[in-house]
Amino acid sequence: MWLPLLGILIGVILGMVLPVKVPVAYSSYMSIAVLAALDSVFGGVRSYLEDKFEADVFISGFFGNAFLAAGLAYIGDRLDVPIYLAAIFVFGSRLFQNFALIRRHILNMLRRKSAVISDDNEK
Amino acid sequence: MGGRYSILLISLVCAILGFVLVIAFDNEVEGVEIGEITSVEKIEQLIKQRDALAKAKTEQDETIGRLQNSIAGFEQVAAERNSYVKLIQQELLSVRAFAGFVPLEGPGIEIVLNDRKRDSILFSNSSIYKYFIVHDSDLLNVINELRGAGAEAIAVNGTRIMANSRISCGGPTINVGKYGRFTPPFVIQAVGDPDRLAASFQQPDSIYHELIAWGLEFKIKKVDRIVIPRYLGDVELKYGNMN
Repeated sequence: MWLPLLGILIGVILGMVLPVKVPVAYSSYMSIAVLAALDSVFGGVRSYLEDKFEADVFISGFFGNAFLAAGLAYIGDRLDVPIYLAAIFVFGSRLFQNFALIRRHILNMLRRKSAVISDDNEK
Repeated sequence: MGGRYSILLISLVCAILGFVLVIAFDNEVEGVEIGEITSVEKIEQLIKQRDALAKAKTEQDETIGRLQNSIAGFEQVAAERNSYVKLIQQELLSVRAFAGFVPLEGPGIEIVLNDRKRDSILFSNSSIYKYFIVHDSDLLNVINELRGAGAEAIAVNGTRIMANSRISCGGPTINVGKYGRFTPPFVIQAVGDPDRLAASFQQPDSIYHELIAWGLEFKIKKVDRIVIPRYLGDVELKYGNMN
């Protein structure tokens, strides 16, 4: 259960150690990359909790979404139309949806646990 | 699907998320700390500093004006005593106006010179960024063309251009005269025949066409009445002798 958190920690450390700098001009691409990664993580956790996790769907979704969003942002930059907002909108709304489902799952699990404990106490 | 395997994959994407987050947050331009510049605290500090400096400047300008008035008073007294001195005083006034020690008022033009606005063309050609910004040489060319068209007095952002005013590159700023350090936009005011001054930029070899071609902002406005401020600062001859 703690492995994802460890993953984030490793990523943060890598980001601090490696000398990678992104020009300010590409900051909108960075925001989309962050959103794509967040969306994938939430989606993955949700499907994991629902026991519906499929590795190929997860990985292809992550890379596909990221590239599609970056491509949209690029086309938008070329056309002077902020198309990347579409990606942000979709990722953002899905983030909240996934978070709501994750929350429900975890709350249900907690409820079941406390029910089991109270059952034990009654006996 | 094994639970361990899926958790591992999620952790991998989590690592990528952490990496991207750090890069997104740790977004600094070479040499310039954006967070430091844009923090509210820093901005308030800078505004306070600017206000204090502006106050000090107006006080000193008032002192200059007072001293100037007393000099004018002495000259007036001397001129009233002697008609010969009066002639000299008139000559002195016109020479002063020409040299830039007196504010000059009259018809003229106002030019606004600015960098290209940040758009996709600029970002996709950032390696030739230098063509999209106003340089000291551009400013110098514009002033030279104004002089060629018969401008009698020129000021850049309120700084009177004198015979010995330099215009040089100051990195992100342009040095104008002894004290001026300006960033775009540059407002160039000139007293002269408005039509003639404006028309000089329509000549095919004018710097106007080059700057417009690179997408820089170059606005020319004819004005019926413009006031060019006097030169504020000290002048002294250290090495030259008048024989």
